[in-house]
Formats: sequence, C-alpha cells, structure tokens
Amino acid sequence: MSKLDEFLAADVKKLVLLPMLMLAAGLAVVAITYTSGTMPMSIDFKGGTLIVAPYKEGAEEAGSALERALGYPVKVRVVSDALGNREIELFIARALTTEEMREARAVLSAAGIPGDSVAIDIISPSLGEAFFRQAIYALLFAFALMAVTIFLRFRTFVPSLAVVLSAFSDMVVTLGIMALLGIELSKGSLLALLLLIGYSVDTDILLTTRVLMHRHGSAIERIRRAMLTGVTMSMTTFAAMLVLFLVSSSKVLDDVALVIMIGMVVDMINTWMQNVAILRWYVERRAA
Amino acid sequence: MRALEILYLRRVQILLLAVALSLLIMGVNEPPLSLGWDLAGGTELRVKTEHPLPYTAPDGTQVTMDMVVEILTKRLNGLGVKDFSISPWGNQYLIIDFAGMPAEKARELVERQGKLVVKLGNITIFTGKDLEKVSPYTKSMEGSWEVPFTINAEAAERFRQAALQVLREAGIEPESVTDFDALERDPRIPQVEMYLDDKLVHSAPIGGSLWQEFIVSGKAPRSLVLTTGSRPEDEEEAKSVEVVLRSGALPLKLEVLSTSTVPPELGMKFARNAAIAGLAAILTVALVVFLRYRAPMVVLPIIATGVSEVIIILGIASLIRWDLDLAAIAGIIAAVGTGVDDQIVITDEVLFQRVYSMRSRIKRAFFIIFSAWFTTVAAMFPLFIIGMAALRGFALTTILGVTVGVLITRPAYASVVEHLFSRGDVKGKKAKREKPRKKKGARRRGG
Repeated sequence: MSKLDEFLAADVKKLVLLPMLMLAAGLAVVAITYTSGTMPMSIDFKGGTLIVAPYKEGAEEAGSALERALGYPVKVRVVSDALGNREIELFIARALTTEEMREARAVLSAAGIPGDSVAIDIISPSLGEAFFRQAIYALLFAFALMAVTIFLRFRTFVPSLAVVLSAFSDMVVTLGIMALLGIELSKGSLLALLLLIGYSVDTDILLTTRVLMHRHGSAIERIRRAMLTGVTMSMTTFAAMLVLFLVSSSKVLDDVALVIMIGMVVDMINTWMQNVAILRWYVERRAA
Repeated sequence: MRALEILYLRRVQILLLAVALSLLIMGVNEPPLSLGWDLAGGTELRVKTEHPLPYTAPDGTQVTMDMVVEILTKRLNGLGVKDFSISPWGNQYLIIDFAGMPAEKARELVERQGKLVVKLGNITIFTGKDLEKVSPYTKSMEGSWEVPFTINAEAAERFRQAALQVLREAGIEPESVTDFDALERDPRIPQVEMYLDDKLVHSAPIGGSLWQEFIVSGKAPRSLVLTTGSRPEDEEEAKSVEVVLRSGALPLKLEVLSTSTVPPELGMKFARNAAIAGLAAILTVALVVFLRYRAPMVVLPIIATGVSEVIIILGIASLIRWDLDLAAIAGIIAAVGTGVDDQIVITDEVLFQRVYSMRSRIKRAFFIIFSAWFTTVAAMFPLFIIGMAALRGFALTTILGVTVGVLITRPAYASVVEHLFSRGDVKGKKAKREKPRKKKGARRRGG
C-alpha cells in the first residue's frame, strides 16, 4: 500500500477531524466578525469613496492634501501588479457629493496626479446595504438550488449530503480565512464565492460518481484515481487564478482570483478528507 | 496522419463551424465587441427614484418606469450624448452607463429634474407641460439663430395678458405705442426668463413683431420663436435652449446613489492586462496539464478547445451586442476554467478506465460533466435574476460559457480523445478495432 492509500484508508474519524475543526473555526470567525461588524467589507457593501490613480513619486502626499481639503480622514494604499504597474488607492468612508468630487480632482491635480486620470467609485451607504442584502440572497439561493440539483442528480441521501456539506464548508471556511487575512468582501469576492460553489461541487461530483457508479477495483483504488483527476482539476484552476492575480491590475479580477485560490486549497482538504471519509463510511456500511 | 483524421469527426466539424461563425460575426460587426464602461472608459450611475414605480403623482398622473426611462433617453439624446444605456432594475432603481463621460457631468445630467418654468416679471407664463412642440434650432433669414416652438392656447393667452400687464406697469399705455421695435429695447420692460429646476438658464426680450400682434391684432399666437443672436456662440445657446425646452420634466426626483467612473486610459489598461492574464493563464494551464500527462496529444486538444470556447463566447457576445465589462471577463475565465476541468475528467475516464468499454467511459464522463453543468447554472441563476448590472453580466457569461461547453466544445473534445486514444487501445486488443466507427449516438448523452 502506498502512503496515499494508507492516508485514504485511515480511520474515518481521523479523516474528518481536520475538516470539522476547520468548519467550526470558520463558523466561529464568520459569526464573530459579522455580529461585531468587523468583517472586512469593501465600499461595494458599506458605502464610501474609492479613488484609484496611477502612482507617481510622492503621490502619498495627495492623501493628506485631500484630507485637509475635504475634512474627512483619507486612507492611502499603494498597490502593484506583476507587469510593474503601480497604483495609489485613496479611501474615504463617506460618499462624496458632486462638488466634493470636483474638489478632489483639483486637489489631486495640484499634487501631480492629473484629475482626469483617476478612477472614482462612490457608493452611498444605503445602496451598499441593498447590495449586501442582494449578495446574501444570491449566495443563499445559489446554495439552495445547487443542493436541490445534487439531491436530484444522485438520489441517495448520504452521498448528496456529503457534497452539499463540503460546498458549505468551503464557503464558510473561505469566508473565515478572508476575514482573518483582512481580504474584503467585495463585488469581486462575492463572484468568487459563487464560482466556488461550482468548482467545489465539481470535484465532489467526480469523487461520488467514481466511488458509487464504478464497479472495478476497491473503493480505495477508485478514490485514489478520482483524487488524481480531482487534484489535477484543482491545480489547473489554482494556477490559472495565480496568474490572473499576478497579472491583472483590476481590483475586481484580483479579488476573484485570490478568493478562488484560497477556496481551492480549502476544497482539496474538504473533498479528499471529509467527503472521502463520509463516502467510505457509507460504502462500508452498505456493504456490511 | 491520424491527428488530421479528427477533422472528419462530426462533433469537431460542429465546433469548427461554431468558431468560424463566431469569427465571421465579429468580423462583420463594427466594432467586433462592445466594451463596457469600465473597460472603454466612462461612468456608471446607479439611481433611485423618489418613489417605487408605478406611482400616482399628486396631480393624478401615473408615473411608470418606462416613462422615466423615455424622458431620460430623450433628454440625453437631446444633449447629444452618444453612447449611453439605461436599464431599470427592480421597481425603484435605474442603472445608467455612459461611455467616455466624466462622472460630474453625468451626475448633473441625470440629477436635474428638468422642471421648466418660463416667467415674465414675476408672472409664470408657461411651464414644460404647456409646450406642444419644439422644432430643431435653425438659422433665420436674417442670419440669427432661433428655436421655434408651440405652446397651448391657454398659455398663449396668459403670455399676452402678462405682456400687456408689464407694459402698463412700466407706465406705457398699449394703445399709445407706435414703435414696437423700441419696446424690445426698453429697459423698463422685464425680459422673458427661462428657469430650469429654479435656475435661470436664458432670458430674452419680447420682440417687436410679437408686441405688434399682442397689441394691434389682439391675438395670442401659439407659435413662437426664440432668437439668440447671430454670433457663433449664439448657435450653442440656441442648441441648449432647444434641449432645455425639449428635455421635459421628470415627474419625480432621481437620487444618484452610486457613481463609478474609469478614465479611458485606465480602462484600456484593465482590458489589456485582462487579455495578457487570459493568455498567460492558458499557457500556465497547458504547463500543468503537460506535467500531469506528459503528452502533447492531450495538451494541444485541451488548449485548442479552451481557445475555441473563448472565441465562441465572444462571438455570441458580439451577436447579442452584450457589453463586455470586467465582471463578464471574470465570467469567461470561470467558464473556460470549468471547461478545462471537464476535459481533464474526459481524458482520465478515456485513458485510465480502460476496463470499461469506450462507450461507457464517455457516458460516465458526461454524467459528471452534466452534473457539474447543472450545479453551475443553478449557482449562477439567482444572480442572473436578482443581480444588478455587472453581476448580471457575470452570471450571463458564465451560464453562456458552460452551456456552449457542454453543447459544443466538450462533445468535440470527447470525440477527439476517443478517436486518438481508442486507436491506442487497438495495439493490445484487436477485438476493439471496430469501436471508433460505430460509436455514434452513444457519445453525448450523459445521464
């Protein structure tokens, strides 16, 4: 027996231990950060103003100049991508009015950042809230529809539940890791979480189909073969997202890529430990 | 030469036809692809109406979403704004995209309600509602710029009464007037003032010929002409007066809730970087796939299929004139990523499950692929229904992409792999020789 077979054949309880702990920790982090209002959220969901401009030497100065002109605190961040582009991001917790927007452009121009070269995003808190509600509904409905699809497709309770549980865990744990790393919940990361449902379920469907519908070889052997395929799938997705993250300079695409990368790692743990354990338990019990 | 035989496979021909059609559509369409405001540069406003629509105004008029969209469209057209799109969302929101327009201007255009009031002294002579027709501005025979328009009979009579009243207030008896043109220049007589949303936008004196009609013939003409002058800048003024008269008032106030603006250079950079990222991602995926299979015969079809999928999605986007924005690009990347995953499933079933017949291997692969397709569509569907603007585009491109995948590209890839690798089987087992020719009908159905 190879090391991998030994691992896959390990005690069911041992296999589910890590995924379960991970899920519990994820739930705790999400619950605590959400109820305490410390979950990092972008202006998409809480409102505010984000100004993005090409970076120039000394552009940080623009932040304090803007602060003086508008009278609101301004947070400054410099970001760069793999192609050597650098951008400066100015964040203000308030939605600027048209006059303030004009003033901001003038202040930036004076600081050497041409006013017409900046991207500005202004979202009122009430719209942010509406977006957040919309995001929650989209996630819940997407999840529910996915679960129904899985149950209709496999028509066996335990294996279907295992797939749905794995997808749920992927989402919660990824959200938890995002909160811990300070990755904002934004338009981009919402898209990524929705995509994650799809990607997460793909490998679980593969595993379930191979274990339940194939007849040749032992269960462990079928799991190992499924794992070879599944890990290749996750690796290609991870690699593509890594490249996207490094090369793209847009915040939406960066967020999508980063969150999917985290999700892929979480999904590998959930699929190849938790889902494997549940399926083995199911198959062994059915055989007995 | 076996590799070339794949061109005779029906499903490959369907794929090639789809790719050719897509290229053709993009070649014929001008521009081949329309980019959204966040890639082409421009502004997106998300606007909330004062009341949920439909709404019955205090004066009894029924205000609908269609009406608001129509008035806004007319106003923007009147101002010569070229590329814009207005899409209602729910019963109280509108999403307005402008190509290449700075945010401040866009906001002012949308925020102003367009309530027109025309006054003489402090008497209101007519409002936007009394306007019956506004003609395009023209150059008169004397060479000055003018805007002809028509008001209703009551407003016309109000105008005449008001004119006579201001005349008397200035100490001039209408009957005693002989030089009507002098009245036009008389500083004691107030000018006609045009207010838009309570702001004075234009004022002009009553012309001599109109005075003559008011006084001598005692008629209240309904067709009026507003003259701005004969200097070049008066043409601009005439144009803006025409727009003010035409734009019409919105029956309720609009509140701009969000403003997003991207300058064209930055948008172009996003688009360029996304394209570079897409190419680099395809090469990276090729590398990962190669490390796994060590066979160009597997890598090339996977990459070729992925690229054709992108072309077909873009072709459809071009056909339905869908604006590609950043979220849509994320959707395309997601769809192609799912495609590669599915092709890995097909490859592994065909290559490594040889204990089963080819027919059964393909069938098993497609059971997994269709299950994955169902769940992806299920996960995206709610966003497509309730999503606002960009999020909807993302859901649409993803659903479109994976559907093109299961209908066109996956079947083609499966036939290619089947063709290439079932011959590989033959070396050991002569019995399976017939397989490649009689596999028809069994390939695509997944379950």
